[in-house]
Amino acid sequence: MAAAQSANAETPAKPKLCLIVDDSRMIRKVARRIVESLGYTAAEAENGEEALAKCKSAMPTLILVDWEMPVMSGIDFVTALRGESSGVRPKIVFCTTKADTRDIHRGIESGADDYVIKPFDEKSLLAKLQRIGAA
Amino acid sequence: MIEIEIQNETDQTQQRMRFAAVPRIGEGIRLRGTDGFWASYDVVDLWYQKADYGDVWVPYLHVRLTPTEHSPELEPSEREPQPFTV
Repeated sequence: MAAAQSANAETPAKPKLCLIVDDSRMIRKVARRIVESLGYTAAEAENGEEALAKCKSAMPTLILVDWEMPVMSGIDFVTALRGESSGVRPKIVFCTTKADTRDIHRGIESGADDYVIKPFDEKSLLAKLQRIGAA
Repeated sequence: MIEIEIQNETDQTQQRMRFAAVPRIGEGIRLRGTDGFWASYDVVDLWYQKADYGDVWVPYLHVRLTPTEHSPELEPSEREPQPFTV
């Protein structure tokens, strides 16, 4: 029993993985800086299709996703991801300039947990992540 | 003219503009912000991505508002004159 406890104590905690999905390299850099400061390991995808492929290989615990992207939009990606019957349910936050109430409702209805309007900073993103229990 | 996509960290927006030459990292460029005012932005990064059409590489710029712009520590005489509003 004591040996088992000792082994558990030595097992390093599984790193939290955050997938940043945005076609803008600059946004990915800014978001990466913020999530890494929160202890996440960051991975990046340029569009929804690439993000879906990355989720299939390693499901993240948190996904920050843009709305308007080429190839596959953020809303299509979230709908497709939530439609899959995987056991793990990552937290999803939309980061977009779409500030219309209808868009926010559409985003949440598609399966996102929260919504951040660009331009976002560390403080606003942290507040949202704390609200959904991802920080 | 060269079409460049500008990714603005301050506003977190992206726009395409035409330049006579590609600005270099560290240079400052004048851009009109979302508030309608012109301000100085620093070029933080520059990279090229292949366009969807043909064998064409499009330059991309990552810019950020120059820290001294709109800085409250600066004396009014040191600041850039602001346009009048009516």
